[in-house]
Amino acid sequence: MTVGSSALRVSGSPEFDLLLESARPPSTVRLQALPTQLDWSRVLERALEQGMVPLLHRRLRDAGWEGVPAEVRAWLLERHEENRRRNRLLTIELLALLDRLAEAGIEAIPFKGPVAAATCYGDLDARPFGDIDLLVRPADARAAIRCMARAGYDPLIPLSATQRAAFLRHRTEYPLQRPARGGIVDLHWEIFHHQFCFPLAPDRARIRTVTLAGQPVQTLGSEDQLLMLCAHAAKHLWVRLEWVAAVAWLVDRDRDIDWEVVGTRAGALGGRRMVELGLALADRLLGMRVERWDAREDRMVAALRDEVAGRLRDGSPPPEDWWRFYLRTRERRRDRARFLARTAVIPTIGDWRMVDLPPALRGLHYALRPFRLLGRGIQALRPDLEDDAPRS
Amino acid sequence: MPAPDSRYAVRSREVAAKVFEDEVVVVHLGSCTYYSTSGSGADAWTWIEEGRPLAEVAATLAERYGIGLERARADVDRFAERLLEEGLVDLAVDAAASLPPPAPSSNGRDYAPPELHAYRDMADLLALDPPLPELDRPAWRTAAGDDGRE
Repeated sequence: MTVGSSALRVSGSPEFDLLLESARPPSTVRLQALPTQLDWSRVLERALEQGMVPLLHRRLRDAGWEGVPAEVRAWLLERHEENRRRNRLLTIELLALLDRLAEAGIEAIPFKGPVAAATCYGDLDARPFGDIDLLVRPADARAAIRCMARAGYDPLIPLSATQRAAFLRHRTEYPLQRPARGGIVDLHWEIFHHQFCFPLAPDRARIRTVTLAGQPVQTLGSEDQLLMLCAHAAKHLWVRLEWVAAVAWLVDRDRDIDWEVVGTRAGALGGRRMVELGLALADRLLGMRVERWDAREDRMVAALRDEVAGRLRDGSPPPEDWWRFYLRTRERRRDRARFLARTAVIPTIGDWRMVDLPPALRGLHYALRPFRLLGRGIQALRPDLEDDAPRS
Repeated sequence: MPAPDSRYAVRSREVAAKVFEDEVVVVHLGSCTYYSTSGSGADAWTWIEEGRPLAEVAATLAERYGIGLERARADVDRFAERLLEEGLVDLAVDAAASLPPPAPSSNGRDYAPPELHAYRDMADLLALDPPLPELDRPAWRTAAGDDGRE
């Protein structure tokens, strides 16, 4: 595939080159000897920021730690052990939850987290994750929350009864956690919130099974997984090199991906550009080229690719106007218009919490939202954890 | 000390366990404590979880690792007491199910007494990014330049 050409130099420094090499999937990796002079502080800082610590650990371990200072090796081994424990704990928590939900007759499909590590890398330890994402059918959402409450989970965000009812009606995910502060479970009844105008629903005919700790688990098919990875990363401005790696590894490992299905589904959802961008980044940064993908000429994809690649290379912070970046990843005018309109009027958690309206007046939250935004200025469109937050 | 015919039942509403390669990971979901055991400990956990009497667990361990029965008994009792103290198991009260004997293979591993490692920092681990190592003036930087590059 070719998505425009550019004079962008991907290789910016030996430190970034090492991260790129660590991110490459097996079919494209060519292990090089480590440069003799590396700024390891920069390598580790950048690896931490870009979710690359597990893949960096793997790359250096596989090369026998040659040329790696003892302090760096010790730090990476310690992080690896922590990541391993965290991922295994979350995997066990996920499997226990799936059993509980199945006992209650609720079908739940995990995505991201452990299943993404297993499907993209075939290795639970290769990806850092800190929560569990579960998708249930919208009609099962309330029953699933009740089931989780019986299993000891509390809502992460304290809401009054009326706020909670409004929240469930207008949002598409509900974060829960045990009082002992285990993993946060994001219970979704849609993969992406309406705000993002990307109504990806799993193609149930393409659901695939992965094995986690010896237990078969159903998750999104690779075609949907790819759409989900690309849309999730677009929503979060592609701030992590590991997200590019996940796309490249998934494509490299699953040679049976039906690219026609990817194209058709992405096109129907207006998400073709997001997929093009993910694949263009995998190609430009990691050399993972998909010959069977029918890439369209799209100057915006080339511009976004260079912007993201340059930011990852330089370690620059993402733009503050995150919504503007997201808009540019959407090819259809109607999705861009809807996204802006919905961002302006759909009440957020912050809105629900600011004004606790009685049930009869819940609709007023929609009317209040634009004023709250105006009150906060355009900066209000920025993500933050308690609000519209594109959380990772 | 538990009686030889004692059996334990995992507290399955609060405790979940899985095998990852040669490690058994046990999580107390109520306290978010992570337990890890491998080698003879992974074997012992598996057989205890299956509901086998402690005497049978010890005898199988002795056979599998080629150690004396008394030593195996003492080690299994200590391990089982630890599981009980940590709230991972209860004494079983139902009748024992008839189970086929476990395969007598140690995969060539040397014997070490079963150990249960507890990690009680998991909530912090889930919440925090790790601090970077102290690399202010690392030894590998050249004398000529302080930025580590040519």
